[in-house]
Amino acid sequence: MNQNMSEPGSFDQAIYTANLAIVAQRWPDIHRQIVAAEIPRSVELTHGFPCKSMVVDGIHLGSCFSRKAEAELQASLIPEENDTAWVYGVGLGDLPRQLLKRSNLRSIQVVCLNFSVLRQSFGNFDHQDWLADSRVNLLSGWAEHEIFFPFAAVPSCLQLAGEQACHIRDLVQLELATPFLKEKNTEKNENLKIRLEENERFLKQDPDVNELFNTRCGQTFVVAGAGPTLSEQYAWINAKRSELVIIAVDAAFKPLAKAGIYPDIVVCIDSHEGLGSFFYDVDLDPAEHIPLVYFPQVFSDVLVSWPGKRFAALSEHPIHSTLREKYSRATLYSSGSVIHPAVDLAVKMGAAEIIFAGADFAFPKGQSHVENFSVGGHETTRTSPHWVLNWRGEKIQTIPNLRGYLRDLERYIDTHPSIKFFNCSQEGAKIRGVLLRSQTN
Amino acid sequence: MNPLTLRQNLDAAVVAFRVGMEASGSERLAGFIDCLTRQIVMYPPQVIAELQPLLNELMAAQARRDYTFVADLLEYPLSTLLNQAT
Repeated sequence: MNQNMSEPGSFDQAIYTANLAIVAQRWPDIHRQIVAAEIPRSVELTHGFPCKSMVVDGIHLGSCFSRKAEAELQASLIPEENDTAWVYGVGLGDLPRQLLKRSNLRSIQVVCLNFSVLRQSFGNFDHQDWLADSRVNLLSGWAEHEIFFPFAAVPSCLQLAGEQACHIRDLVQLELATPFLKEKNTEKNENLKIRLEENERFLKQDPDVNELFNTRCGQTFVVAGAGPTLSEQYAWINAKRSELVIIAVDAAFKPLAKAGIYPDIVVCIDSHEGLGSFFYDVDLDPAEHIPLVYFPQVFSDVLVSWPGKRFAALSEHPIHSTLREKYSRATLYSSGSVIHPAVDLAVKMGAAEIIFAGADFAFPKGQSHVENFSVGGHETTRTSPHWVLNWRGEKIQTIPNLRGYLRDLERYIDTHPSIKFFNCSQEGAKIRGVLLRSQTN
Repeated sequence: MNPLTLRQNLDAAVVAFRVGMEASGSERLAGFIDCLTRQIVMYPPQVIAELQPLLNELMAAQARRDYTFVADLLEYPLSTLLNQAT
């Protein structure tokens, strides 16, 4: 497309001033943040297309062909009958403008995700019509901890979300990905059904996980994931071993064992056959006294070969609905990651405080897992464009799945205010609701 | 297994990218490219020549995660060109 040329971003002071005057009057806090915002690395205006658009750091804020059609499509996520709408991202202002055409709409909450981008948009596009509409409320994504429904989003603003808005961005993206994930899970669930039938014999004979509930009241638990930072924790865990109840996720068992640390409980939920490798090439004799808590979709060989006692658990997921009706087994929280039921087990066993070890939800130092987690040692990941913030406020690479697991864990933590949650490494993803604690404490 | 046609993949990718459903859009885009790869031998040389730079732009936009522009390229110039080819 030869006409796909961009020109350096101009900045129309008159338009900017007019837009900003409304913001200053209606939302002084937002005004301050826009004025203080830095200029993006690169801003270009498109020309030669049917529509004027703007490109910030390589991302088009809106369509170059039909911004109206694009906004109509985005607005279609908000049912016509709703009188309230949430909009994540401003872009060029087309989405709120489109929604305001609905006469039954009484309020639109527009959440800004990057003030630098918004400043540039205000300096190039007239936003006065929708900003001045009394039904509009402008909010900062910095201050939001949860998303609200029904909502629509400006995708470019999700890509360009600022560091402080990454939490709300992740929740929006997680929600938008949910229909696709459900579709994928439906395909996967057909295979899982076969596995569940195969493993029903274990479920029938093994005791209920609820036998472990309230057996360690008031104690300090370590929930060990298989993230790269697990190895940073070996020394202090070893030193304080007798004071801790350690629940290891399946992939963390071997690295812990090779460091001389055998957990008190192992939790296993993965259905893939690679799960077996988490228990190869390691001395399983000490595991004779270690309970294995499992969901019945796990790779059957693991259940057969586990030398210790097994405890069956179920989740609230629809895939377990038939088994829940058939067998009386307690449920553990699960939203895709084995960390979730491991934490829920700790809570239900009576934990007063839970310390995360190796729960990184990201790839610190380019590694996906701790060394020895599987056959072949630790994996080095490919470069990922996705990121989360670590405990030092630095961007670290991750993948959307891990980001989703992180946000679901944070939601779980939010619902358990009486329990203290800690993390001991600054390298992994920062977990909201969790305090950083020195390894030596 | 992606049973959708070239057009269905294109349309689904456009909708998904426009509303922010990145994973779904990426899968449909991959389905579109698969279909196109199979069908391209049937297109006239002039269409193939015009497709090449558009596909290069498409890949570049996808690589920088500029999904709005990916949707633009699919919905407008590529769609028009493919309509001419069939």
